[in-house]
Amino acid sequence: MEYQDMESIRNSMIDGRIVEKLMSENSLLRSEVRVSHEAAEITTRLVIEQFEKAESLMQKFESASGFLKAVMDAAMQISIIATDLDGQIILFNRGAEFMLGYTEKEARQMSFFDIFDNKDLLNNCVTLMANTETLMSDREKHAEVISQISSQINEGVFCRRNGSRFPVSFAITPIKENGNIVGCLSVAMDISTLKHAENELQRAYKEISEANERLQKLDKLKSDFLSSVSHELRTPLTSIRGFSKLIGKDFERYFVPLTGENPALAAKSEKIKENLSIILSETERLTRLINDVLDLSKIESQKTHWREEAVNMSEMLRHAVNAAKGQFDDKPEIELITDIPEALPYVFGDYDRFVQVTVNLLNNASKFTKKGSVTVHAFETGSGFVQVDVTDTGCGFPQEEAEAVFDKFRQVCHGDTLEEKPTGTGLGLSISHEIITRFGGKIWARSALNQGSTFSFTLPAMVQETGMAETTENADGKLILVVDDEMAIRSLLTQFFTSYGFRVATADNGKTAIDMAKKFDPDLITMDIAMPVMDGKTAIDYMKQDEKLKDIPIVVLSAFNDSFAANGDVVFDKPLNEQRLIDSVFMLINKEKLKDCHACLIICRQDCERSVEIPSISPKNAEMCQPHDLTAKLENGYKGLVVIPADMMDYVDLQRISTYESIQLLILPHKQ
Amino acid sequence: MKRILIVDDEVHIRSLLEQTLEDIEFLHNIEVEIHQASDGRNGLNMIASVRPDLVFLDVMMPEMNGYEVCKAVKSNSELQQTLIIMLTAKGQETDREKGVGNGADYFMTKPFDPDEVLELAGKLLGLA
Repeated sequence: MEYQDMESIRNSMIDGRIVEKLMSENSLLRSEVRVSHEAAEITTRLVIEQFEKAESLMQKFESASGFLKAVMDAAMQISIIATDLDGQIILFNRGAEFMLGYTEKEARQMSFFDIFDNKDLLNNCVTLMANTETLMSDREKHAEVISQISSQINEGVFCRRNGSRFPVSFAITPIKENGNIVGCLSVAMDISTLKHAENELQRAYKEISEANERLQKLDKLKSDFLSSVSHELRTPLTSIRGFSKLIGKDFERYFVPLTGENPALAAKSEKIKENLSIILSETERLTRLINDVLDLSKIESQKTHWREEAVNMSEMLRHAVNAAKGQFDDKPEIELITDIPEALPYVFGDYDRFVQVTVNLLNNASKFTKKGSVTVHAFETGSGFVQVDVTDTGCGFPQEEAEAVFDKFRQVCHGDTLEEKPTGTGLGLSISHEIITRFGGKIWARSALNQGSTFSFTLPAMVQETGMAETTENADGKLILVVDDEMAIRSLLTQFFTSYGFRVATADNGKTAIDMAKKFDPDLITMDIAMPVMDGKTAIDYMKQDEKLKDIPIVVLSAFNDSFAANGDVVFDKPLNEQRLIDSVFMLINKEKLKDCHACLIICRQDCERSVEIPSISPKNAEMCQPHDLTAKLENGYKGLVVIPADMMDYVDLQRISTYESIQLLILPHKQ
Repeated sequence: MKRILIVDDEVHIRSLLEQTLEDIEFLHNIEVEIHQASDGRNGLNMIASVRPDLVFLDVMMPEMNGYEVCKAVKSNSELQQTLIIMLTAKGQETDREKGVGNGADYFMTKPFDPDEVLELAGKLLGLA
């Protein structure tokens, strides 16, 4: 066969076709190898991809198991114990093992009540059990108790294997099978750290309140002490003052005539009289000091009764200047110059206290000035305040100490500029500071050593005269009374209305508002609702009953109050709609039609037709609304004016609707 | 003749008032009898026995305070014509209110000025 094969090959080799065939097979093979190579490459790539996928899956799994582990770890902090209706433990998780020190195996031999100690809850259960006596079996009772106390979070005490106890917070959930309670699951957490913190907090709180109480006692003790000291000091002072005077009198009456022509005795008697007068003036000073100490302590402990009324600043200042004039009569080398305009705006506050401040500044000025002048200059600032400057040409003080001069017992003066020690009490400026700040003003000092000083204070102007340049023909100097307990709002509205050429008076509560309305007869009132002393509603009710006041239109501005008071910035737009406000005001004052009044609800009676006589409001924009429909409209987000004729006031809850921010509330006067 | 009673627990104040008031004789040329009591109860007894025209009455005193004395005097129909000047401490506005409530005719704030005492006493006694 081999030979034959060989033979055939030989034959074939001779045959060129066979060679050709072999060659083609060869090339076929080569291409197959190439394809398989490519296939292997693809496979490898796919395998690698698979590996990568597997790897990322494994990573994911790893992180997932980390999460699971965290959950498990977290669960370690929570004990989960299930019991059947006999209280036998049937489930005891790792957390419970960790928390209580029993293994699950051990726990399964125990009753829940072996580890649980909560007298209140147990008592509660006992009561519940007693109340459920009518039920058939204990198991039914237990089921009833479980359903009663489930879903409440309770606190109790758990008992560890080693006998130690710790507080837990736990919840009980009934386990149900076919709708019947067959046991309960209790989930509990160790709250000893929390309890500890709570106890610490309570202890700290107790300490603080005790300290506070002690402080209050001390404060009262201080006030009582000051009051009695002042009382006790007065008796010896009375003696010193009185007897010095008596001695002086007797001396003058009986002894001076005896000196006769003897010049030595005459000189001595002059000296005696001079010494007596020193005793007297020092007594006066001591008396002032006692009065000031008492005054300041009362202001600081808020026991002072402040008067709150419209104060005529021009009058007040002239009064104060007159009171302080005596100081200057003794010092002819100081000229007292006053520059007090006749028509200063009114301010709101305590007349006598303002006199006290001004006199104090004038006394200081005269005290620290040897020669030159003391000037009182009062003027209205552009920002709605009245400012008073008291300028002297005295010794002055470094500007760095300008704030310190308002401290108690602080007198900034230097030996070489003033021959005698100043004779004040050192409390006048502290008291002045308290007074001015109390009424919303500021007090400050400007000075330089040896260049005199200027003490200034401001108080918010109550009635602002119309600025000539800005007067609009509409406002015509009409008076608006702004009633609000927030100083910021009063100041804001004052500036706002003044910019339109109105004059403005302000009041900080309903009662003052009524008094001021009677006194000043304003053309319009803006009224806040929630205020101390007397709220806006009461004031409006009163005004609408009052023959003289009932015709004054009232704009209720309540809701924007809160947002303003919160940050105290002067912002007009939100939620106060200034355009709507000023339109309403012009409409009410000038009885002209509202311009561009977009939406307007008019509260009317049931039988009221569209033709209600509110001529000033464009009827095409106005919508009639009965009182009982109002709330629904407001709830639905109505934005715009709500007009309430005065005789409809009793039908609406003013207090409530004034809390809606999107509306402007107008109260129209009774028809004339 | 005018009778004046000074009720004060402080001997120096009594002495001061006495010496001050003695000047009434000098100023108005009228006889003045000055009596003294050192506590409220004694003062009230003396108001009943001496029947003074004018009483200087301190507030803070042992036994019976000035308000109580004042009230007792003003609610007694025989004594209520007696003029009472209460000696109060400034800064204690309640003193004044209490005094008014109890019928005091006038107040003097310690430390008072002898000249003012003389002037006021003269006025109240109808001598000015």
